Amino acid sequence: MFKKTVLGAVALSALGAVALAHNGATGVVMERMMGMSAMKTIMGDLAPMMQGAVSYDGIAVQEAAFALQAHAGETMTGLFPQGDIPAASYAKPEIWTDWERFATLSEELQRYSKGLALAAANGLDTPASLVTPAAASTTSGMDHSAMPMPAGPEGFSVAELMGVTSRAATSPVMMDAVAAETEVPGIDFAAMAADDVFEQISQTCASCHSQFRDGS
Amino acid sequence: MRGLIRTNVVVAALGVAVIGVIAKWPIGEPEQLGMLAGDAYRGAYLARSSGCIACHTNVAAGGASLAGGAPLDTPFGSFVPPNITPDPEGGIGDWTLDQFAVALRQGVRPDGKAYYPAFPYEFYADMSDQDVADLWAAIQTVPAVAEPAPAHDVSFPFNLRWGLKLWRAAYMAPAAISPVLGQSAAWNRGQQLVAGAAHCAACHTGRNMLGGLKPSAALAGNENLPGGSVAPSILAADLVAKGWTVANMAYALRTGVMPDGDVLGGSMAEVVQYGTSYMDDADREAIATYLLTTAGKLPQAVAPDTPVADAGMTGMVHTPGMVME
Repeated sequence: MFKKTVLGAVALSALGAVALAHNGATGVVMERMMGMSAMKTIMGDLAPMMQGAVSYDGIAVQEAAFALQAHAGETMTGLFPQGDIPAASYAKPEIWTDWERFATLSEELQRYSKGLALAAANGLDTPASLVTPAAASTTSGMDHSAMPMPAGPEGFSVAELMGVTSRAATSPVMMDAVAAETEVPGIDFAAMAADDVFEQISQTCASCHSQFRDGS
Repeated sequence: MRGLIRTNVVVAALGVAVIGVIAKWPIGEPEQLGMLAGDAYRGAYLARSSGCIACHTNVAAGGASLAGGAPLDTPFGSFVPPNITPDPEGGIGDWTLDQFAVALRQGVRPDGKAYYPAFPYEFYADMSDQDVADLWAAIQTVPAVAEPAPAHDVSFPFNLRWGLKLWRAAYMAPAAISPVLGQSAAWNRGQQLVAGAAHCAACHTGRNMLGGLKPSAALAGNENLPGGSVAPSILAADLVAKGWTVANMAYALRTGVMPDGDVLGGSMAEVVQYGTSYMDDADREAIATYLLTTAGKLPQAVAPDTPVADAGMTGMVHTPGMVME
């Protein structure tokens, strides 16, 4: 099913090219818009799976992760040559004034996409052997009827909520042990739930969009 | 000629007198919370949900928590969110709880001067005494930073703070949030967050030339946000037309991923990253429930379903009574 979706995305990209050409985008601007659109389609297909709204399909997630990986990194940065920004483009000039940050985010997207391929088989749960007691306690006993104030905190401390310490620094996903096949030091993707890695990907997209994309 | 000079002198004198009267015009009512004890955890959660952390911390520049935020560039000038750490010099350490309450709920500084509406105090006006005490307790947990944040850089005539008293008289609209009987607990909680703490309208409602919110355009979107961002309409009909449901909106508020797969950018990315991603699922669903409710009802098509692949997520049980009456 997912293969169909990926093929569909390719077909849509062709259609998208026509639409974007109408929009006034041409050449490299059109090419990168198509890349972004293709990633949007993939993210849109994965999101319901990551929410548990549709059945989880590990193979489909892995394929999608490979597709995202192919769009990211140098493939993406290569589509942003310095030059005038045409009206049809959503690119902000900060891409070129802060190129290092842009390139880092693009690489990060690639690494997390690789990570998603590694975590795909785990589904929406951290492998049982790796759940820490602290992490386990946050997923049980939450009662939504206990409104209006949140009764069950989702594991954030006062210091994390107040921004005194970063939540990433204390997250259970930052393992000391680094699996041989992971390439990001300190993160053991194979020991993570796929939806947690997916959230890292979406955070990377959001960071990049907030800094380098015009509009919203 | 002599008459003209006399007229000018009279007009100038009248002007000075009017300004003098406005400058003396007292604003803000004293508040008395006494020794009300606050809960730091509850306050910290509220500080996150209310945007205190996001606005008063310059994360991008590596700034310390609450030590002063990134400048907010507006047509009136650049506003710098001040240091609100418990430092008596650089922050608000020498304030009393009562002064904090007046600042937060009424937008008036301890010296009696008004805050600019860049500080969304209108939305905090209906916070309870306990909310204020909790926020106060949470602020005390943050390391004090002695260096004050830089001053605002606001152009004339907006740099004259007494003018804000006129602004308050003309446009100030303090939130007044009443629970609605017959609506679900989630809807009522959502109303409390959307219209109050989370101050969605601060960006999603258009503003007039002087920065007053347009009540007739509530939540209908704003194309002129500081920094060039665009806030779309978040009226229920528009949201439903774009494919939003309670489930996917709650998810977007956690991850930034929208129903079409695009990932939120602009200032909303920051709202998610530094705000709503710290909320719990129930609160994100409450916001979505409130926003997607049309004519008093949450359309069946957008109500949350029981997840298909729910294995292991014991905390995510959706009880039917949660959103539908």
